[in-house]
Amino acid sequence: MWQRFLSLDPRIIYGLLIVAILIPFFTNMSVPVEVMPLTKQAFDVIQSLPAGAKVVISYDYGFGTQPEHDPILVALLGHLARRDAKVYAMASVADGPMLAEGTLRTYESLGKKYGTDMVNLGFFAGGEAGLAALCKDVRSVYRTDLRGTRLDDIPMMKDVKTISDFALIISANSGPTGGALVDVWIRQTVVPYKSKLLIGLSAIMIPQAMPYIQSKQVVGLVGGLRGGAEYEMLAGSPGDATRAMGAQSSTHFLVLTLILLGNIGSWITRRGKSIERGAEHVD
Amino acid sequence: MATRISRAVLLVAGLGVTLDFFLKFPPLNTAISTIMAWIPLIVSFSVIIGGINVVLIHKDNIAKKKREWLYSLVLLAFFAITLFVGLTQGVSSETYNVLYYRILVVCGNSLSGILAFFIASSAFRAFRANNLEAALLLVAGAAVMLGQVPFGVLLWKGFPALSDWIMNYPNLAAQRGILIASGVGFMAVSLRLIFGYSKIQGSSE
Repeated sequence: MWQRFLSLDPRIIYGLLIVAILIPFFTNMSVPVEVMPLTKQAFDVIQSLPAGAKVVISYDYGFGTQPEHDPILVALLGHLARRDAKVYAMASVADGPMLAEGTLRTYESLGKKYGTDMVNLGFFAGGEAGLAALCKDVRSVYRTDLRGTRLDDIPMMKDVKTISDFALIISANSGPTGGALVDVWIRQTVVPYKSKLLIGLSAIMIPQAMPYIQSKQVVGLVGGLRGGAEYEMLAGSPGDATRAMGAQSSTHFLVLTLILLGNIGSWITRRGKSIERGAEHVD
Repeated sequence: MATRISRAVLLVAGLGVTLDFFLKFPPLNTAISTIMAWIPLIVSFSVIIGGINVVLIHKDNIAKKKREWLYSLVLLAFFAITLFVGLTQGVSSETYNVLYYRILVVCGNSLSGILAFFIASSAFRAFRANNLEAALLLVAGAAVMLGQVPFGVLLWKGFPALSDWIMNYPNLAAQRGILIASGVGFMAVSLRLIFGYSKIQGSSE
C-alpha cells in the first residue's frame, strides 16, 4: 500500500492542492494572524514619519511575484497616505513602472493627486551602477516621469536632487530579477548616504535579509503575504493579504501532511525491505 | 590594441569610482558623476540590442519552420503590437494597459501560480529524512514554515518563537558566512579585472 502511495500520481496532488486553495474561499475560513515584531517595527517607522515626508518606493519585482508584493504595497501606501507622505515610485526592473501604476491607483483613491503627492518616475537601467548614478543626482537618470512630464514641471520634484533628500526608501524586492537587490540598496544608499531602508520581500527572500535586519542597516521588513496580512491588521484595514491567509494555511497544511505521510511511507518501506533482506540472510 | 584600450578604460574607471567613494576631491567627484550618468544610457542600448536579437532569432525560426515556430510567430506579433502601441499612444494609454494588465500580467501570474503545484509535488517526493542532514533540513524547514503561517500557531504556540530562533541564529550565522565569503571574492575578482589579471570577455589575449 505504501509503495503505491509513494509513487502517487502528481495529478492527484495537483487536484488536492486546488481543493485546498478553494475551500477557504467558499467557507469564509478565517485564521488568526499574530503580528510579528519585524512587521511592527516597519509600521512604527512609517508611523514616525513627519507629515509631507518624501518616500521612495522602488518596484524591484516582476509580475511573477505581483500577488505577493501588491498587497504589501497597498497596505504600506494606505498607511503612507494617512501620514501625508509624498510618494516617489521608481523601478530597477522593467516590469516595475507598470506595476507601480497599478498600486498608485490606491494612493489616488485615497484623495492623493499625481504630481503633488505622488509621481511615477519609471525604470532606471543599469542595476547597481544605475542606482549609484541616481543616488548622486536624480536628474542624471530621470529627465521626465513615466508620463513624459519634465521633472522640473512636477511640483513635488522641486527640492529633490540626490537620494539624501528622501526620508525613507522602500524597496519591494523579489530577489535576482536583474534589478537592484537588497544588498545593492544597502551598498549604494544606506552606507554612503545614511538613508533609511525598509524592505517588502517575497517570503523566500526573508532568510537572506536577516543579517541586514540584525545589523540595523534595514529599519523594517514586511515579509511575504503573511507580512502583508500583519501590516493590514496593524493598519486596521484587512485586505487581500488577510483574505489569502486561509488559502495559504490550508495549502501549507496539505504540503506538510503529504511530506509527513511520505516520510512515514518511506520509513515503513525501508524497514520492510531490511527485514526481508535479514530473513534471506538467515535462510 | 583594442584589448589594451579596454584594459586602460577599465583601470581608469575602476580606480576612479573606487577612489571617488573614499575621497572628497571635487575634480574627481565631478568626473565620476559624469561617468556614472553615462551608465544608464549605455545599459539602455543593451535593451535595443536585445530587441534586435529577439527579432533576428525568431525571424529565423519562422523562415526555416523550426520546431515550435508558431510560438516565435506569436512572440513577434505581440512584440510588434506592443512596440507600436507604446510608441504611438504611450505607455499610459488604455490600449497599452489592456495589453499589459489583461494579457502579460495575467500570463505571468498564471505561470508563477503553476509553480506552486510543481513545488507541492516535488516537496512530497524529495523531502525524505533518509540521513541526518536531510532530517535536520526537514525539521528546520517544517518548523520555519509552521512559524510563518497562521495555522502553525493553532497547532502549537511555540512555533513562531522556534521559527524566529532558527532564522536569527543558525540561518543568520550561515548567511553571514556566505555574505563575507562572497564579498571577499567579489573584491578579489574586481581587483583582478581592474589591474588586468583577468581575461576581458571577447579579447584575443
